[in-house]
Amino acid sequence: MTTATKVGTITVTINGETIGVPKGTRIIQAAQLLGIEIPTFCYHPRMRPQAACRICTVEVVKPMNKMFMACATEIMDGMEVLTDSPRTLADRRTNLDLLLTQHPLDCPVCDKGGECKLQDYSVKYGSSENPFETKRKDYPEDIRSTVLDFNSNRCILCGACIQVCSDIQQLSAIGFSKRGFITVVGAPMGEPLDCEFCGQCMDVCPVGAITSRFSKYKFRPWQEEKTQTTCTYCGCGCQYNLRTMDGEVSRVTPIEGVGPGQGSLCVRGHFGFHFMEDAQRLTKPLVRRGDKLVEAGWDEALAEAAKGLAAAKAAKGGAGIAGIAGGRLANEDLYLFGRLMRNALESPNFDSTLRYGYINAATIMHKALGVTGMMNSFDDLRRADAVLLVGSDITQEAPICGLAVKDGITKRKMPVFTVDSMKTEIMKLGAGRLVITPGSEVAAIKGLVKAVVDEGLIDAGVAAKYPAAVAAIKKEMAGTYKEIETPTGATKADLVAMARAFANADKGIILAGPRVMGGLKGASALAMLIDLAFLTGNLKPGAGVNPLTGENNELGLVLAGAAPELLPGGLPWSDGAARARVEQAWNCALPEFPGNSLTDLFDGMREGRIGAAYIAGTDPVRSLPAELNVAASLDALDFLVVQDLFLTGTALRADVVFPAQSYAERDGTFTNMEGRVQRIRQAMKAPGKARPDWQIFSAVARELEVPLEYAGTDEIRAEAAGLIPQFAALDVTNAGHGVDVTAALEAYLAGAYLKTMDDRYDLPAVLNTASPHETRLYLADSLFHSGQMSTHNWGLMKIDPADELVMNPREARKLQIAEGDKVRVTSLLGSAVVPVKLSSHANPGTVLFPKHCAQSHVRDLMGVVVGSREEGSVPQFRFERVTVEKVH
Amino acid sequence: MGLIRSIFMTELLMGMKLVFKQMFKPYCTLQYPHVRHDIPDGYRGLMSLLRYEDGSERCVGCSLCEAACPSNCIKVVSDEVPGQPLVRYAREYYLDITRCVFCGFCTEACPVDALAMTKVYEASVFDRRDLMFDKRKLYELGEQHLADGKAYLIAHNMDDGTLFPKEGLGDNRYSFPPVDLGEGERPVTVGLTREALEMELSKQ
Ligand code: SF4
Ligand code: SF4
Ligand code: SF4
Ligand code: SF4
Ligand code: SF4
Ligand code: FES
Repeated sequence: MTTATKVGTITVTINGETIGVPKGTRIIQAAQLLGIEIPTFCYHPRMRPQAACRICTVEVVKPMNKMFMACATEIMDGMEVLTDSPRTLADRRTNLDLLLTQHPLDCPVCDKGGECKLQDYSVKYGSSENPFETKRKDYPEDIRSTVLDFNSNRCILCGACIQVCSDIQQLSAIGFSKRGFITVVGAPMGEPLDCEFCGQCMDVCPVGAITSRFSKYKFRPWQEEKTQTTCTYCGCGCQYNLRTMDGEVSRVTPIEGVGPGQGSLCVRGHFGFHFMEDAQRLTKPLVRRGDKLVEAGWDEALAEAAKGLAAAKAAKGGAGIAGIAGGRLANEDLYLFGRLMRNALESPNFDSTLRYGYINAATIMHKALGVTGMMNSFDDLRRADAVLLVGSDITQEAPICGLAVKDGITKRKMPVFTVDSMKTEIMKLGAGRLVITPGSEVAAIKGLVKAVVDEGLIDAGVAAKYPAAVAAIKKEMAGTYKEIETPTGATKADLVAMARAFANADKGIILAGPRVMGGLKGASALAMLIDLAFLTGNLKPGAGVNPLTGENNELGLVLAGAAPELLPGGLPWSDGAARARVEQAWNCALPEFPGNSLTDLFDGMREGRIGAAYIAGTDPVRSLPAELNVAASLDALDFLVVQDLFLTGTALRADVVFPAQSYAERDGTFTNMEGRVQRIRQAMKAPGKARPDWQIFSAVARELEVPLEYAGTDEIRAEAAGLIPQFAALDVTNAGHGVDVTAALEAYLAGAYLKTMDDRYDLPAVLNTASPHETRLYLADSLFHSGQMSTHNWGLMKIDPADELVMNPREARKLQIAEGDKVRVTSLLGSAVVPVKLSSHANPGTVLFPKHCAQSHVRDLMGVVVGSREEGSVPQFRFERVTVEKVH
Repeated sequence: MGLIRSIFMTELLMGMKLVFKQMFKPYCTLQYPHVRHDIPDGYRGLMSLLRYEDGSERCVGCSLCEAACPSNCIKVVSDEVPGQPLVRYAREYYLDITRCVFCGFCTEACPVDALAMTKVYEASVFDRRDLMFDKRKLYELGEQHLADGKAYLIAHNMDDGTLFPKEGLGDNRYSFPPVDLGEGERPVTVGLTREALEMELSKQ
């Protein structure tokens, strides 16, 4: 049912106060609107009522006099409710007395003490004498899982944890076992819990039955300081409270109803809070003396950096300097880095980790639809009629966006269609799936477009309004299904069924993951998805096409223009008017032509065209495979400045290393994948002399005698907002009130659209056919990791050591490989030895390795193919053919 | 009049009368430090931390004393005992005696009778810093003045004879359930906005 049919105002009177509410509102919700507190244990604002705990009893006096559960009772027009009548209070007291007959009252040693609902309600509503016979439970506490401890003695059997895991997280990893007095909560069959460790069960538990091993006994809620901040791990941009005690992080707590996640967090955000305090953090600037990096003062290091950069500029011109930014820097840092490179150093060579794939999303989305980032918000996703997810293991890569999709599945039975080369968790829950050959995403998308065209599923309005464009697409679809079936392994019937179901939905949302944008024809693939949405009439508010980001601030990179073909605001470099605006704002002249992209920059370093580089917030040496010769390129430089949290592989090669501050030690903003600009706030002191990135850029500029001086990040953002209007408002999504893309779309269709059609629908050659190796190795994203930040977390490393090759169990059996065995993985480029983990996530014929594992050499086995300029010059290295054999 | 008084030294006589009266009363001054007062059991002297009879620390690091202290002079750093899962203790414990107002609230807050006030009142030192008591110092005081600590707790009715029997330090320890090793925000009712409510209803 949509809002329109449901809404209709009815009135309810609670404790004498009357309020009008929409039909379907429950008593508890009306009470909250009025600010009246009703105690609850099992109620959760985002879950179906289960009416298990009965603490929320209220007295209804009209239309009938009866006791009702406030959390589960829908309001009838004219209802009168009393929430603290003597009858209600007596019922509550009895309820609490009964709970306390077996509760251990461990409060002094219970981590919930001080924020426990049972404590609070006992004080407020309980009696001091318990009329019932009491018997303390003494069941062993289960501390076998890596993160969560279960103390069933304290459990009041409200079932909230089980419900959050089954309805919101949709894993059903925990449940009750045994019955009655000895009921225990935990993983089924008495096994140790091994789940995604999102920690939401702990968050919803009203008592101390589920607690965190990582914060065990380390805090009392009243001793902590809490700082609302934005998670720094992925593009979802969840909000949480970082809680600190005496300058150390004690834990992370979600904020119900706030931010993109509405109070849900994933394991990285919830338990990955140790990297800031890692002993390996850089604390002082380092400068090169001979072949050693030695500690230095800031003045010395800054002067040296400025000298090196100025020398390169004098020798080779501005274009002889390269700047590379990582998507973990804050918006303000990125804007200032761009200004330092383009204004102070006069270099056009400013690129970033956008080049790993998202650059295609940045250019195509802007060109075709005039938007930066997603067309829809997570709320749109929760309310869509159908979702098509291509090339993303969403629950691992963007877990909270995945939860928005899951929310639609649970609450509205929303059909989700998945096209991917590995078996993902969301596939199991979805309405339809295509498991395709790795690297054949483009063909599969073409197949879907073809099915829409061939089966006459084109939206009538679109066909009538844009006949030329529709005819051009139709023409491209003349080929046979064979062309699609061979590379993908999907059948015509599957494609047609999926296309039909998706096209029939009113509001269909397409989500495109990194395997779409990061492929060889990434830009075309995304353009095809836009065509698909266009043909099915889905380019309208509430529906649309959405690229998913990898790093947390990739959209910030786009908005700061951190790629040679982009300008601040995410506008194309070719936009003359926009260039003029930047020139005016910065009072400088920008070069006519865009600079080189990442792989060209590395070539340029080896060829001597580039003399110096400034790399901040990213580690290309460890994140790109050996075939790209990144290390040799950096070694060929005359001068290298690196700015990071840790002494990375890249930093080891630097002439000057600046220690940066982490997100918890400074202020600023990140932009999430929906386009929300959200604050990070200082919660603790930085180690040693580390400084925030923007201050370092500013200090380098000062040394270069191009002063870029600001009092703080707010001042930088205020200046940047002149060029980047998105920075002006905080906490609003792109799609806040529905984006209308009609104007941009029409301009797109009227432009070079028809001419580029041929190239777009040409299928790319199948990768690495020359290799004699048979098994396909794929670098996959991991839920538990996202690069050096997560691998410097002892907590996350304990949950997932991150260096295992994932194999299909059946296939492993054939090769007589057992879990934990060591195998040798060989490709044309060499071999590496790694331990094996068995999981059906890997299809037969495919093995997976975590993309973010920096320690192992598996990444160096990957062959690299760099996409064409039109396709974003993306270095594609996620697939390789290998042979896996057991090491004896 | 004045002259007559001076001549007859009446003032002197009145004074001597008082002197003679006092001569036959018992002394009330003591030869401190050679002789000392008997201190009553409820006396609130320097704070101490007590141990169980087997030598283990009573304090479970619950921080309730810290919360109860009106002058904010207690700091408890709690943790899990290394190598003993689920056993909670105070890894560090500080009490700034210079700020303590000797109210005894902390001892009353303590759920395990770990804190007791001794009869020590001689707190003067040559270095102020010595008055910042840490965990070691507090346990030392507890060991030296165990009997006083016990007496204090009994005098203040902090035991009912079962948890803390008079004949010795009882077994008022937190019973941790056995460990099975085998193989937000404050979640009070969330403020709901009308927008969020409509969003939630629209999804059903
Ligand atoms: S769950 Fe609450 S009432 Fe129970 S021991 Fe813990 S703090 Fe006390
Ligand atoms: S941590 Fe998350 S996935 Fe694991 S049991 Fe709890 S709710 Fe389920
Ligand atoms: S563990 Fe907590 S949330 Fe789960 S049933 Fe028990 S009391 Fe409820
Ligand atoms: S989903 Fe992303 S932003 Fe949210 S908690 Fe997890 S890693 Fe952080
Ligand atoms: S002394 Fe008592 S009240 Fe203070 S932390 Fe220790 S156990 Fe808790
Ligand atoms: S909150 Fe209503 S029954 Fe639990």
